[in-house]
Amino acid sequence: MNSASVRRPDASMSLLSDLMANTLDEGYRREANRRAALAAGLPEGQAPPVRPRGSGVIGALVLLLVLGFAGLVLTVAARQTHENAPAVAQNRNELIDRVQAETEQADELQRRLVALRAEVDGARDDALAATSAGSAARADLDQLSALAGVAAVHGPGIKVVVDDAPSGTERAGGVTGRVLDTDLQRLLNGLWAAGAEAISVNGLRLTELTAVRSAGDAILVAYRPLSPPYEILAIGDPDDLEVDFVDGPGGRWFHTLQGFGIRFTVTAQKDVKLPGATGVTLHHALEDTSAEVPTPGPSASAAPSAAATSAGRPTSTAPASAATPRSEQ
Amino acid sequence: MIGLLGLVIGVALGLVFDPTVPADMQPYLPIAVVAALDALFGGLRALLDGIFSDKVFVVSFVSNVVVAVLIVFIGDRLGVGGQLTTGIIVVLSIRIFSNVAAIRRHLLSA
Repeated sequence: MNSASVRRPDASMSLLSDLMANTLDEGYRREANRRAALAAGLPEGQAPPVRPRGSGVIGALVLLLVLGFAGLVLTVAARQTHENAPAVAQNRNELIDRVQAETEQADELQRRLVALRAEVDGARDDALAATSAGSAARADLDQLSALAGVAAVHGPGIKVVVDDAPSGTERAGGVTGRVLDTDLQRLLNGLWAAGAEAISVNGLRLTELTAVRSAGDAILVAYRPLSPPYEILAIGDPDDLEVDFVDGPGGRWFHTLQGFGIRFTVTAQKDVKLPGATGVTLHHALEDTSAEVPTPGPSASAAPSAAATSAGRPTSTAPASAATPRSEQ
Repeated sequence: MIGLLGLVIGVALGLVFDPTVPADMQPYLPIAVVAALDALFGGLRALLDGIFSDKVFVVSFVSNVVVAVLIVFIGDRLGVGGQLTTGIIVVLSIRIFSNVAAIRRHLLSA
């Protein structure tokens, strides 16, 4: 206390040093001083009974009460924490279970969607096969859905596998041997330019609506994150596709990238199978029916209308049927 | 000795009756416990220093608990309850630490 009047070197830290130095309630010291003063003022031998006897009993009772309360609070707090701990863990486990259940349900729904879509396709094929106009429409439909990337296709082609550089081969200057979305775009454009008719990346079929972009560290194809290695399957002319691709812009680009440790292999395949793309829906582009002769009427049967739509579709999908928008990018 | 008796009775009561704290009060229980611990160790140290006074102890205990809970309560209303809780815990635990150190010096003279 006295040293506080003399300015100490650590005066600016008075809060902390006060906290560290005066840990005992000041009341104790004062009470002791008061008692000492009283005792000094009294004749000797009369120091201890400072207060009347009754207040000593009350004081002891209050002390008992307060300490009893302290014990109670301690016990209750400990108990409560102990009892709440399993509840907290249980909550967490329940949440995890719910997430897993919902994920499973979403997967199940996805499977059902695929199954139902196959069923719808089958039913439509059956319905179309009943008439000759329907058969023609079905042939058109098959052709168009293969072109649009909705139907599964197979044929001769090539397999391109690209992968990030092996870890630990990072170069100075922050050059990482990672395959970027722009690299993949160049590769795919190179394939289209080389005459590929259908392409899939890691089992995801490309359509005219498929975007290849990056999100964080991952490359997204059709909004699904991929992890390396990237396996690209392409169907095309068995004689020309591989040569045209390797000598084309895509192949040359990756030839350069190989200098950074990126792995790149092209192999010819006798028969590659590509799955159909799911979820190809046009939300804003509407079929331009003015170019066609609409055949509305109460007498129009199912077959002519099917023929009309199938006839109308080539014009509507024509710009997308070729890969020209990509290959010119 | 009467203090120890009170403590034992309190613990026994807590174990036997298992009282539940109202949900509104639950966030303040840990703070109250730490404040109570601070007062307890302060009292113990005063006892060993030979300057214990039951009046001072009771007043410091009650005011410690009430003030600590009150500060956190006000902090909760102001949206800084968590930070104030941390501050109180820091201050009180520093005091507990020093008091325990003083008690240790008394008991072990080291």
